[in-house]
Amino acid sequence: MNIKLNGTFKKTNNKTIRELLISVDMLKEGVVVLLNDEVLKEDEYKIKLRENDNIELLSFVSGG
Amino acid sequence: MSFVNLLEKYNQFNFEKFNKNITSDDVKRVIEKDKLDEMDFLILLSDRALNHIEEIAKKASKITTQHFGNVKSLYTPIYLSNYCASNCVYCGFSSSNQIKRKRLTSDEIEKEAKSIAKTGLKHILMLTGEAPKIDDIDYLKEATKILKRYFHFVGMEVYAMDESEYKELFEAGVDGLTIYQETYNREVYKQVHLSGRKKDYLYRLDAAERGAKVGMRQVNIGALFGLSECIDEAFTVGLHAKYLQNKYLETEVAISMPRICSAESDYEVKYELNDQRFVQFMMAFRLFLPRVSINISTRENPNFRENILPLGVTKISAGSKTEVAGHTQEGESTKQFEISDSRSVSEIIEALNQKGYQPILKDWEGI
Amino acid sequence: MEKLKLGNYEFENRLFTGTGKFKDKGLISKMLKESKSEMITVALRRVDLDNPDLNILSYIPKDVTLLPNTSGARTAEEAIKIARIARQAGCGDFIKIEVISDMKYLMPDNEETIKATEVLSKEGFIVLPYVSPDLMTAIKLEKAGAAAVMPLGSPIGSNQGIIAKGLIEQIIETVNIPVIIDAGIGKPSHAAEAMEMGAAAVLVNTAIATAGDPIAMGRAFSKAVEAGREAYLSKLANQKEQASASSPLTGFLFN
Repeated sequence: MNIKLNGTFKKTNNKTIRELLISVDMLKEGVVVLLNDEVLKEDEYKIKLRENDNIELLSFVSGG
Repeated sequence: MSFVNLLEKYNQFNFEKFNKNITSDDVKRVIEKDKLDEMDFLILLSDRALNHIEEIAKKASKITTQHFGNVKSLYTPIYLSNYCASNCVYCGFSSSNQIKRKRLTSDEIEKEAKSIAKTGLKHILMLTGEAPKIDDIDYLKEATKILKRYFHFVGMEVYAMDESEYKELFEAGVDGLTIYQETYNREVYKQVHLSGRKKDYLYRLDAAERGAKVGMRQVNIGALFGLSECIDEAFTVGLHAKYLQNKYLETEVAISMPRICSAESDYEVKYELNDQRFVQFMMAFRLFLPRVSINISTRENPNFRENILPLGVTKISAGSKTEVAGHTQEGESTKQFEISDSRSVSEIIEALNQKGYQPILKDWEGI
Repeated sequence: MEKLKLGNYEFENRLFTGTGKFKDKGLISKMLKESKSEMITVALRRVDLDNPDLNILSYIPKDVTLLPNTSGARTAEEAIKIARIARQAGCGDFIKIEVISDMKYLMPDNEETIKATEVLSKEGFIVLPYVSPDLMTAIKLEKAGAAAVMPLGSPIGSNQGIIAKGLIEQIIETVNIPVIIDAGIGKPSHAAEAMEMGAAAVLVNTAIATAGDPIAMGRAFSKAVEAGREAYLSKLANQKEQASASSPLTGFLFN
């Protein structure tokens, strides 16, 4: 299906958020996951991906 | 929060002890400071500070010029009515005094206004006694309308009223509110205000703030020196002015210093404020609150008023008559207090010019 | 000495720090320990999938309060979005609102910051808005519910110290919320000066992070903040003014 990940459109075979994160090696501490502008809690990673979902992966970085 | 909450902080404060312990070094240190806090202000009001009055004067003069240049604003009062429902022990209009009572009709107000306007003055202060039922809001609104035709700034010194009433009058054209607490000492306040609305200490105390809240351009407060301990009174006036200044940035805050002396009143004055202390307090206000306006009326004699011009004064009344219709019907009613400076407006303007000051008749104009 | 209250938090130490510009992020936790700083800023960014940055939170001891900023936001709306994400991600209730669309000097947009403050304070954030020193802005921020106002000392990274002292003093004298000077503090003496003026705290990032020895510099800043605060509390006397000779102004009172 078609999804948007960090601003880029891509096709994916992943069924859930969790699978998607693993596929980009982002299932790790410190990653903030937004699904359609909502922050997901870890236990929500099992949510099924849907067509045209917008996923943003953010993290806390250094800043003043 | 109201001003009274701020006052409560000083309930246990021992003013006498503080006053006794002030040293010359304390006073000198305060004179050299740029931004004074409340304790610095109290130091300037102390007995010890009198020994340094010339140094304080130099600073007061400098600050006044820095913030106000040579400008002295002129205004005059118009007494609309001397009816009074309050019985205030110290006042000529007291309800218990058998005096000629009078209230101006619209025509009479217009006549008075015309007469005063001839002098060139553009700033007027309308006064009544404490008679809310007689000199009611509608009467005051009507008076304002008339006066606004002749004067750019109409101030009001009448009985304390609700915020909604101040709003009504503000919208009708009243630009400034003058209201003196008379004394901030609750005990003394109770003793000298025997009846009527004025009996309510807190209602009166918050009136100035209500005026500021509705948008009055200027709020003029003060205490009637002579009723209670002078240093405490002056301190509280300063606190009140600072409170209003800080909370209502858009409002110009002014301080007046009316004082009673035994000679002119039946009231037994226990805490007379002499000239030296008067000047000391005035300069303390100036150093504590550099931007506050200081208003000195014709209660003070010409010589004295002229001498204190460099020391902090920014507003003076001129051509005053403290009786109802005093400008057109002199002698028809009783005066509220005796005027010491009875020079005409033009005489005062001339005197100011001679001394290098800039008399201002019109401060600003609402459009 | 009296603690600094922001929201429902209390801070013993009045030096706040930042995680930006550290050559070696490993120094951050030691710097925090040595300086005793109790709150540090972090930012929120999209992960670079090809080159992911390690999670900054792993460098910050758990007992230090996080202050996420909204850097990157150019409008109030963007700042609000970032703030909500940061909180949802578990960063706590503090938010430093930083709205900058000026890329030349990095000056904050006061107007947008006020708008963001109005919204975020209603949502329960402890809002610390970063602004250019302006009295009316500070008054509006207080009305809007900000927990403090953070006027810049000088532009971010410029290390010029406090360039608009008079303007900041106006704010300190007028608003009832703490004034925290943030940005541009280049030396411990600047920090001491800020505290002497009556600031409630200072935020220092660049000067510490880019120092030769950030840990030592953090310590130095902490001492300077303490010194400045003590001086303020003991009320400094001003320089003596030259007395000018002139005829007595009060002679008339004694004749």
